[in-house]
Amino acid sequence: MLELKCLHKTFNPGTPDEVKALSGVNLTIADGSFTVILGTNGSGKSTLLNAVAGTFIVDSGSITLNGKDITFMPEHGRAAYIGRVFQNPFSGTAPDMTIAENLAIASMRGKKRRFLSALSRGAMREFYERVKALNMGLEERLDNNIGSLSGGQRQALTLLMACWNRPDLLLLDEHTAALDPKTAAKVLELTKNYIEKDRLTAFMVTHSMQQAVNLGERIIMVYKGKIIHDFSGAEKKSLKAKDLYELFEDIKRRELIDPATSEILKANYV
Amino acid sequence: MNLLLGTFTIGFILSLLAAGVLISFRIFNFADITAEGSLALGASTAAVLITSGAFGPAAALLISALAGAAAGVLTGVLHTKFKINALLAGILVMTALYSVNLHVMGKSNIALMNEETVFTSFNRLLSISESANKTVLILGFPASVKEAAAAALAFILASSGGALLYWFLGTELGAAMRATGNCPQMAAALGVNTELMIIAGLSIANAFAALSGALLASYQGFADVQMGIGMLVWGLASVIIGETLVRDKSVGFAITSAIMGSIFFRLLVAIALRFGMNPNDMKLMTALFVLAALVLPRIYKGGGRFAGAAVK
Amino acid sequence: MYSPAEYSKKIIYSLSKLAPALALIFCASAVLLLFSAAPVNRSQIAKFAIVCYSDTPISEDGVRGIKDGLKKHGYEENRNYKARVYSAHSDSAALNGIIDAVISEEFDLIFTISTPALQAALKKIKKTPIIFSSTGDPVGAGAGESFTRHAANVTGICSLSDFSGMINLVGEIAPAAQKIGTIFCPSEINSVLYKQRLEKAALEKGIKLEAVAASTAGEVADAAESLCAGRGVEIICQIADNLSAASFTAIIKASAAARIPVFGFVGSDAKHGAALSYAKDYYQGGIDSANLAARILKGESPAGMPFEYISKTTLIINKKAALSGGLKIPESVCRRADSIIE
Repeated sequence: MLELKCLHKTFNPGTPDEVKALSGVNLTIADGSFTVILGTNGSGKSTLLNAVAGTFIVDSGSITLNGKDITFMPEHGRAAYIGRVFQNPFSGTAPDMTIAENLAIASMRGKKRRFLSALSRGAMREFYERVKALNMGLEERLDNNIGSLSGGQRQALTLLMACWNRPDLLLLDEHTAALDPKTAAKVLELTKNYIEKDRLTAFMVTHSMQQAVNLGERIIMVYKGKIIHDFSGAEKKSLKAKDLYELFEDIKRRELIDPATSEILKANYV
Repeated sequence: MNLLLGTFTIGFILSLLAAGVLISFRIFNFADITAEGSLALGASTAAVLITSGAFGPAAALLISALAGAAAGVLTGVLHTKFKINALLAGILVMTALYSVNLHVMGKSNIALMNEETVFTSFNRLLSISESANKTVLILGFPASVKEAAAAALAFILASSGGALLYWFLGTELGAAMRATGNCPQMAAALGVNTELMIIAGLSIANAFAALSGALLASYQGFADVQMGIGMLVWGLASVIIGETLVRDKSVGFAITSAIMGSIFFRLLVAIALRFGMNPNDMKLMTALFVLAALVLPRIYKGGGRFAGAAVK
Repeated sequence: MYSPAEYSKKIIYSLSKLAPALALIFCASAVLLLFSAAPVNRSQIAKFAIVCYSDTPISEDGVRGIKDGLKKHGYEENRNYKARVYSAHSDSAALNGIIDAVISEEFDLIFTISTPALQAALKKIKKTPIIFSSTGDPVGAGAGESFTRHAANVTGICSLSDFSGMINLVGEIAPAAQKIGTIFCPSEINSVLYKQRLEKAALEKGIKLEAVAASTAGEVADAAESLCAGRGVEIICQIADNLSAASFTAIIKASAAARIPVFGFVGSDAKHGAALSYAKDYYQGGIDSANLAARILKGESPAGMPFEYISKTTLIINKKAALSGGLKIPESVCRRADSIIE
């Protein structure tokens, strides 16, 4: 179970570039649930994910994962419990290392790395089997550098790597956004399979309404660093992309009106 | 033949430096200038330990390498924990090491003329007399037995150093270290302590540089506080020339090519000196060799990469 | 893990990758080997190598001195001898390469300038005569046990300051002087050595040396103040080390305020406000090495030739600085001066 309590984060405080990225986020995610975060650009949805992943330490609030307070745990420490896939297919794999070497690093997530060969015979056999299960023919190219693969192939491998040792929490940060529709569908399919097979607790950021409606059992909408909508259960099931779209339009309208209203207010009262 | 053997010996000794530079330059993508300081540190430490007589020559080498590793840790900590630019951190530690080396030796230069070094130990092991200057024929050319033994020892040490590095980079920890340099975001996401890896990597790199310095001092018979100056360029040149000659950047080839690059570079320098190049032009020639190594492969590829780069 | 076929495939791949490098190394080695077997320019005239470690005015003065000195003995460059000047540009690896090249060229004589150049040559060259110069402490550098018992193929010119000469000057100029002073740097081994030598030379004439330590440039001014205040120091004889050379003006300032004259061991000291400088002449050091070379070329063995000191020390007098320090330089000393700053 992931519990976020009153998370606050301000970037560049006290400068003209000050951004209040998170302002009081409270959220509890049950074990084995698949939650989708929706939001406009700059709404704070990726920031929320990064706060959980430990890319930065929050200004205040607490993050608890399975009863363990990880608020101040460094990124690499949390990685023992958390698997991640990034939006950029280049971020999740080391391009100048072979597929097998990348898998070897992933297979040691959360374990103590030792002075033992990373590519032992047993490990290679396991790499072969699990890459074969991707059905992409990559199992014959384990000795190739990952840099020679396509974005979709890299993203599929990143997903495999993130799920290699069953993570307590899987963080997906718009991981299909940079792919062409066909590849995106394939990677999404894989994602669903992994989550269902291992009963993973997943937390996915997207800006595609359709994805949000099709996937998961809970939708959270984030706006200006706050959670403004939270749909789950039957409510979530009855939601359609159109409904979400309207909610977004509403947000956009508010965004447009707000500055204008403030101008009017200023003109009349100041 | 002795000229050739001497060239090979220095080439093998400095290939350990090249291996160190390979770690910082190719794994972490920056040229760690600490190597210049740790090379002299290795030489100073070895010289002091050898002349003190309290340690055997092999132990002296080992302790020198540890001293270099400590210097690397310092640069790594400055860079990762205090967020100082990597080049600047290297320059700071290198500068500080100059004074440290003076203090280690207590003077600017220590002679190792008749001391027991790894080279004399190796001669004793092979029952080669120090005083008698015996010669043998190698490929029909007369060669001093001592020079041949020195070259053989340097070869053994360089290849064991290379093999050790190859083994390490293939371990779970070594793979994590390479990933740290190649894709830090991925490494961190998979639970690799990237700061620790950078510190460890720089310490290994500088241990190699220090070992190289300790061997150089043992071989040439003295340690001098100025020994490290300009050495980073030799190391970089070896790595770059090696890469140009061997077009495969996987770990094993990268290490082998750095050693070969070091040898080839020393040979070029020896030939240039032999044929009466004005010594004042030596640094210029070094720069030109490296430039050639960087540019030639691009021209060789038919200008395709130039065109590609221009379009970008 | 791999079948034999896969193994051989791997080996063939490796060889194909390494082949160009191996071929180049082989060719370069062959070139070097073939040309090192037969020395280039085998000719009847003598060949000398001059090996410098760094590029400093001291090295340049030394090289000039060697060539001019050889001329005095009838050796004219390119007429009856050839000389190659090598400089390692302060690069140890290059220095070794130079020594290897020197060996394969089969020179008749090797001059080394500076300590590292001597050491690199000592390690590898056991037969060809080596004549060193610009070396402060040849015994410490490993050239032998003493100035008379040393490596058989080595002799040379030691560039240590002339301490007793300096003390004699003190005696001539200020016969009543009882106490001289200097600043020294405990972390510089040469500084400590020079301080001890100066002390010994002074004691022989019944003069006491007051030495104050300074470890950093910032401490020199304070040390100089301390030296000038209440210690009864009549003359400062500043030894030549890196620290005092760098902060010499601080010493001059303190001594001028206390009206204590300064005698310096560095040639430029007189120009910078010392009453006089009594410094080793590195050009003369070159000439002295050429004299040793001439003896060796006539058939004498270096083994029987003790190390010598640079025969000439240049005396420069700054009359104004001496006067403001309350000193009148006797005419007899002025007459010996190489130059006088009025």
